[in-house]
Formats: sequence, C-alpha cells, structure tokens
Amino acid sequence: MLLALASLLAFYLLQRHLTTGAPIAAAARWGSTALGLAFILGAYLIAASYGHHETTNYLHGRFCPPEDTGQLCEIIRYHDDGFSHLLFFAGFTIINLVIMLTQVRHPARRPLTAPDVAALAGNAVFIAAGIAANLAFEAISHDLYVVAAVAVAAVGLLIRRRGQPVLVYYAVAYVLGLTVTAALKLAGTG
Amino acid sequence: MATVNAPGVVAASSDPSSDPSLRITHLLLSVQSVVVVLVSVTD
Repeated sequence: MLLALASLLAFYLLQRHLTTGAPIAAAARWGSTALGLAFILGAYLIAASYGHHETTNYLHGRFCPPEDTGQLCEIIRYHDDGFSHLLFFAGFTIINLVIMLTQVRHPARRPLTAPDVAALAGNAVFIAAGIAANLAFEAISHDLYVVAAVAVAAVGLLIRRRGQPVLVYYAVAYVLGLTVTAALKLAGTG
Repeated sequence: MATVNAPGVVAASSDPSSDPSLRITHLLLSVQSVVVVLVSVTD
C-alpha cells in the first residue's frame, strides 16, 4: 500500500508540474477544475480499491479455503478478486487519462531532444516490463482492456499533439508492453 | 533604459522558462519506474 501511495503522490506532483506550463489558447477555463476533480476521483477509487482488497484478501486467505463454497465465502471471493480490482482499474485509468490530458492542455513548447526521448523511453521500458509481467504470465482479464484503453488514448493524443513528453512516454510504455505481452503469449510462455 | 514594473504588476510572459522543466518530468517518471520495480520484486 505504501508503494501505491508513492506512485499516487508522484502522479500528483507530475500533474501539478505539468500545469506550470502555459495552457493552450483554446483551453476552457473549467478544464483545470475538471481535471483536478477527475484526479481526486481517481485517487479516491484507487484508495478505496486498496482498502477493500486488503480486508477481503485477508478474509479470503484466512477463512475461505477453496473447498468452502458457502455464500459468505463466495461474496468475499468476489470482493477480493473482482470488485476491488474493478475499483482499481477505474481509478488507474482515470489518473492516467488526467495526466495525459493535462499534458495536452499544457503542452511543452521546447522540441524534444534525442537525450530527452532516450530518457522517456528508458523510463517507459520499466512500465512496459511491468505490464508484460502482469499480463503475459496470468489469465487475461479486465487488466488487458485497461492497458489497451490507455495505449489507444496515448497514441491517439500523440498523433494530435506530436512531441509531447508525457504522451511519448505513455505511448512507448503501453504499446511496447502490449507488444511484448502478445509476443510472449504467442510464444506460449504466458 | 531600464523598465520598471509597478508593484504587483506581472508582465505578460512569453518566456520559455514558463514551460514545464523536462528534468522534473524525467525525475517524477523515474519514481514511477522505481515503484514498478519494487512492486514486481515484492509481489
């Protein structure tokens, strides 16, 4: 849970940092408020998912062995393996969309240099590896759709706003993560 | 000739330094990389 907090705080600082750049001329005044509200909603959903998961995961492991198919254990299993994950995916998607849309609203004015692109790609490789590790060696479920949705959003926004650092980072990370996952699945290792 | 702004008056800025610093962006993205590595190691 501490790692999730660290990640969320870094996202918050990144979003705040991006807004130090001047907004595009067409930016609506309410856009900043909307993005801030969306970030809070995403943080709320992620926090709720972790709290929910920690409790039900303990109850699941402690009191619900696989042979117990009683109604109470079925409810606990659903909240451990299902509902808490859905809350997390919703919060995760919202936070990442807010970060990307903040970059679109506050674009970098300076063109990216080759070392900048290399640094962005270097960080993106870590995210791609995390995506592949989570998707390629486990049964595919909602997480694939979430990663695919973020990848589509990143590529779509990057096509409209070329050369924006955060969009380059997301596009490389999520497209590479999906590509490596597909390759591992096709190779039969996943 | 020196230009003096009245107190409290902020000139309209076209200064490129008002753009977000990429260095801080790289740093914050690096934090995410560290978190991903730690999550993978401890999971």
